[in-house]
Amino acid sequence: MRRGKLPRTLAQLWRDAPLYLMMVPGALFFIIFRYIPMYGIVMAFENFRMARGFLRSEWIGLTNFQKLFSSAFFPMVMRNTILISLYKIVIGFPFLIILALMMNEVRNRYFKKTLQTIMYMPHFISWIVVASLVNTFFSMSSGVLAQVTGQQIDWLVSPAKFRAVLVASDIWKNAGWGTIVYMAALSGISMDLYEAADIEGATPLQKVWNITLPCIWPTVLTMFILRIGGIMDAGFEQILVMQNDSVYSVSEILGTYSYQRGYVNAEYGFGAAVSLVQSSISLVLVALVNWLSSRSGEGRLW
Amino acid sequence: MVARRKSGKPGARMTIGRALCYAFLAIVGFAMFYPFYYVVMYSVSSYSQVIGKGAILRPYGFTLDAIKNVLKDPNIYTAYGNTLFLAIVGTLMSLVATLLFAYPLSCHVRGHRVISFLVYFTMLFGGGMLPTYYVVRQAGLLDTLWSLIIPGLINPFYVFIVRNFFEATPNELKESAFIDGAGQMRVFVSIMLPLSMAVVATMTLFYAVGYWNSYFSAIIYIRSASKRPLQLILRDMISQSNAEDMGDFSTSDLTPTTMKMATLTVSVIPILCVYPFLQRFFAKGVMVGAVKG
Repeated sequence: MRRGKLPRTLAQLWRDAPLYLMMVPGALFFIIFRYIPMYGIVMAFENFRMARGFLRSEWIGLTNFQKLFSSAFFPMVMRNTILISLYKIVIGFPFLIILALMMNEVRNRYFKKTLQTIMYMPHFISWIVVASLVNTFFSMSSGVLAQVTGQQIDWLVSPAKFRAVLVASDIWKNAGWGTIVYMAALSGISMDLYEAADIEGATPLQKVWNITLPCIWPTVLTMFILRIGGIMDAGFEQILVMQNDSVYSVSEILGTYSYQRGYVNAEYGFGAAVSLVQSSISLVLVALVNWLSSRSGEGRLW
Repeated sequence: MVARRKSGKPGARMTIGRALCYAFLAIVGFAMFYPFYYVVMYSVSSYSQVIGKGAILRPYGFTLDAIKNVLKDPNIYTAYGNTLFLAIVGTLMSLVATLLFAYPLSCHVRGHRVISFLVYFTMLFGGGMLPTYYVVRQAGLLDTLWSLIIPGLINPFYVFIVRNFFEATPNELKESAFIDGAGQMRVFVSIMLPLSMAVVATMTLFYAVGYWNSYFSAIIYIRSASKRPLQLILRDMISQSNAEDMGDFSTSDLTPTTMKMATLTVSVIPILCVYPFLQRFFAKGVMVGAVKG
């Protein structure tokens, strides 16, 4: 048997050669633009110079991390990242589910179709466009809201209110799109369950609580794990275009801090250290949540 | 009992709870639709008549001057061209690379598990912006439009969506083609692709929208004004009109605000026109692929 094995493997590889050939462009992409930069994380431990590259720059060990952890900005940036993410999850995540449950109650086909088309729309525009819409509506002096209500509120420049604007615009952009997954899960629930509940005389709310929610629970868990993985991101592209100097103290997050120090100020090693802290924490978080939910026996990712 | 049966589908009656759902959803739908509507109405209005009107429902002093002016402005014109290039060439390259990479995985070639894991891992962890910047720089891509395509060529999540879609296609079709003597490429092109148009359409839309909207890679990789995509021009107009937030007092009808609205309209309209036609594919394309994740 052992003698026959190698030739068989070779024959199999030969037969599949065209398939491996197909993968070459993608493989090159993943190696060059995903795995080499992963190795490039060593620049976080270097006094990195563009001209020298990460192979020949001076090795300075943990100096960048010491500088980061002793910086007065670090606690602020960390707190902003986690708080903004938590607000988005605590408010946005249940809102999505409620929205999907409500859409599931809609029986009029045209209403549902139109609603879906409208609700997916904001997902397809850039954060730059969203930022300018937010300005148009929330600007204190000339915003539409100020004109309609006659009250001038400093939504965009007040540290107390800016995070609410971030959370609201995030929900506005992503809530509709986010319901797709739940709508698909909901459409898979058998009608028999509801008919049986009708015969038992269940109220609509009882049906939602005892049938609908348990049926979509695995989807909810999976989406939740994915959401946890994004905690350290907190919406980099959104915040980068929406923040301004007046709200810097409540909106600077790890991503924007890394961009500002690493790219704009050209402190490459330091910037890379910030983003290594960010990506390590989020990797640990995902692994942890995945482990927890696999122990409970449902909804794990891998 | 009998009466309830007559109402058709279970739970088809209009209850107070359901009426509240309709009302709530109508409000949400309005909140999501109105900003778009407002921008379009404003950009076809005459500034002197629309200023201070608040929440407008119709154009005031209808004129297409602002839109025409946007399309004539050489900067915006060039930027529009760049964005179109990205949306067409980039989408095509990304789509081909993704399909070609996902198909062998769905055939379970030797090592497919390891490759899938390596792809999946890039979704959880990455080198970050600065090491990637260095690689792009070393590759000589800085300040070229290619730097906005190649470093983000494939979205790993889409690889899995496409792979799972291929896996869900019945194997018998492939096998009978092999028996008829077709090669791997031929099976892929003449059998698998035509059966997968739903996922191909979905991926086309997702990549195109991604290229149309992306701005961050342009911020860090592009220097020359002639290579800037539309989103960056928009970004400048926004910060400009923020600086003049106290209101425009110019007498001309082509104020920065009107121009901003017109640019927004021009940048958003193409996507909003295309996507409803592809919408029916989403559910099929994404869900078959994403359920297994």
